[in-house]
Amino acid sequence: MTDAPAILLDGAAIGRAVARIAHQILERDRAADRLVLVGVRSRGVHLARRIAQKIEELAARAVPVGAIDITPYRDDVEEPRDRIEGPETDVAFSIDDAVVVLVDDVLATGRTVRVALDILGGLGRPHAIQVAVLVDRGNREVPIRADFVGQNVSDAESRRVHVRVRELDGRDEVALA
Amino acid sequence: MSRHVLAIADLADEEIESILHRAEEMEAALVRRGDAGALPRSAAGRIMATLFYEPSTRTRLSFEAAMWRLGGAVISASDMKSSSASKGETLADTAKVVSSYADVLVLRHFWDGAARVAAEHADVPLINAGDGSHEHPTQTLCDLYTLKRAKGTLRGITVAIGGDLKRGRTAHSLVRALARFKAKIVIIPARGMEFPGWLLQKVAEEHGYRPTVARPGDLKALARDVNALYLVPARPHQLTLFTDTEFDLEERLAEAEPITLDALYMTRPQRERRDDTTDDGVEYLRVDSDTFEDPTMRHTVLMHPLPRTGEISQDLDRDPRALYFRQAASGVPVRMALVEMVLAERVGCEVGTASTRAEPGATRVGPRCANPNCITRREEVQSERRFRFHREPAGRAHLVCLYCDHETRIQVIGNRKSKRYHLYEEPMYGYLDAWLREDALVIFDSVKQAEEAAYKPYKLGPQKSIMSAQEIDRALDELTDAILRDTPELKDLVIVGVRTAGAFLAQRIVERIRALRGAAVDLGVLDVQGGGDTIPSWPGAPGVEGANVTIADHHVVIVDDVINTGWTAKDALACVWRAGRPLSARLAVLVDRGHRQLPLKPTYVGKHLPTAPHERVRVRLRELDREHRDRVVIYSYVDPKAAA
Repeated sequence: MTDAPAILLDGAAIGRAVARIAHQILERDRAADRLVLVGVRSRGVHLARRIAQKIEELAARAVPVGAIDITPYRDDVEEPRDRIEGPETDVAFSIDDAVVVLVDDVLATGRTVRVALDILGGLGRPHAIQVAVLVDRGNREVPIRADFVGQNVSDAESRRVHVRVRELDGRDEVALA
Repeated sequence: MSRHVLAIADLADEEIESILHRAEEMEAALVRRGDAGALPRSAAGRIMATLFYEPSTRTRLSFEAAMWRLGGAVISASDMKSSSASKGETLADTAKVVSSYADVLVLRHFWDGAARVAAEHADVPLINAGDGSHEHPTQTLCDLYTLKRAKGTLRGITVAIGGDLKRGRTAHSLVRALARFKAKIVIIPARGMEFPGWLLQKVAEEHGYRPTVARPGDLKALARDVNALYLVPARPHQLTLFTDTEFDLEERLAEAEPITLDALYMTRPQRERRDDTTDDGVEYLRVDSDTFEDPTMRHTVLMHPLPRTGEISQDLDRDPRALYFRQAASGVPVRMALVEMVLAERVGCEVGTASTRAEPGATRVGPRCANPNCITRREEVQSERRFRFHREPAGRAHLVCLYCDHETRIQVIGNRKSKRYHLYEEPMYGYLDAWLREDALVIFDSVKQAEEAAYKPYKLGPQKSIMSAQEIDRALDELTDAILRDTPELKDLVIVGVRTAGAFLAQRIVERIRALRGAAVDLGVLDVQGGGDTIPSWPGAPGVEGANVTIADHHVVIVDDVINTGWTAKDALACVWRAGRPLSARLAVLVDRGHRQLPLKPTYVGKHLPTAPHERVRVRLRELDREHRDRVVIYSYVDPKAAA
């Protein structure tokens, strides 16, 4: 047993995961008239921007990116993340009839996504909502599933998953601590 | 026909201007009220009845003061909620009866759309003093009056509106009224309390105007070190993302046109109308004298509908730009002007005639309004027309409630002549339009409602049986086993069935658990359309009359018959969370037919059944079926033209 943090994904692996997710989104939603990404603050927004950029490179298709902030609603207090004092929900485009891909760094209990579905429902009438996450660590408490997953983490390893993104943390990595 | 004031939209621009002008005369007269003949006696010999189902000090007292000042008299019940309403009298009956005692009614009610129902039954003019989170037109008149007094005009002024914009009805109607008078609007929502998208859409449609959206931080930046409040107009490509606040603010400053505010209108968090579990610690816009020290705010007046709950510092109270007490004082002259005109029947709308918003073709047989707080879900309404159509390009159509203005999706449409129904999808729009013109259109909430009205589906061929009674039994056995396997402590378990078929399946699961383990598990019935914040226990279960199941700190299993797109399951989850925070929620369905539009995955599935989009799966249960037997069937929809 070692306590040294293990790196699950390094910068390059995160880059590949983002690219793979972008490919999968394009494959599944190519026919959608309107495709938009909405990141969950804070790291989900940065990932959403990168996925959008990748989609633009791949398909020459502009994908608007919005942000939702679930901190006022969240009920999974067992997982206190360092709260970024940030602006609130910011979806400045219509999501009516759009395929909305909700992007977050980690999917665990599913409580965040459930809240996000309610917030999105309040913003408009999307055609569909899909979920993309960098890491799915299981332990679901709500019947939510991700449509696009960068990396699955088994139950045993899932104690502490730390996602770091260069925009906020200076480097890209997913570490197990 | 009486003239009512139910919404600010009922008043024409000239009527509003005329009320504001008359209110100025009233205010001057109030100052000289000691002089004989200073006040008009235009309500002499008339009686106002105030019906307040919700507490409100200022609105009520200012209405009553206004009536007395006009030489009239006031009658009221001390507390409507504890008098006739508690004896079960409907609002409609109360309005009818009281209008024989008075010349004008003033109503405050907790249900959206209550004012319209009361007006339909009142024989005298009715003024809406606030109905649920719907409309509060006299507050808006006071706001407009104060703004106009301070700035000389409403046209072209810039007003920032901040705070709880999700639930604040005063903010909603003020924005729409300001847009009518071509004011520029900056909205500054607290996080999680954004302006509803449909409202912005409506303002854009009606006035071709999109308010600028700002963040609480923008005003804070102003108070710190920025010299002017610069805001970028709401152009999507620029507002898409702001995460690195400082950087973005600089970037926006560089491109932005300066905005100087004529007025800042603050609202309080609407705690009593809150339907979620929002923290109290959220970032909320707060202003103090520092905010107003900036030179660009020199001419900015500060308004608030009161009561305030800490969002405006008391150190501003002596500032001449702080108008909130004057705003409250304006209640009397503005309401005097309004009451005078209503009594003279010179303003307001007539309910139930062509001049109101009921458009031809509003549906007769109709679905329920999707707004759980709408009066039409609480009381029978008189009008046959409860909705109007709202049509958009590309075949989108929805219903707008005539009472509370809430939008409801069209789910199932039927043809009165052929007695057939079809699920509504956008390609069906041509039929909707044609049937409407032929006066053959019927709109249903659900397939169930259509079938109860003896409508048959547009379908091809006979139903194909997918599961027999035995297969359903076996699937329920397996679902029960799986639920028990995942539940170490039965006392923490609650089973919640989605009305109607899901509730019977849930009951069968609970019976199986009792047979297997000898344990009674709580059983709740969830009405997705109901949208309340409790989940009632299974009716008829011993000793649970009127009781609710406990969601908080329990493992909840939601049971439904079929999962398809997932929208129902999502709504069911929302209902569960409104009733409490569960330890976990699982979803058990008899049939998963695919075509998911939401990221939901049932925890337990009786049968996976790949289907085509035009196919429909029905779970028929002995409790609900004419033939009293269980089966799952599948059939196809066809184009109504092909069926004819």
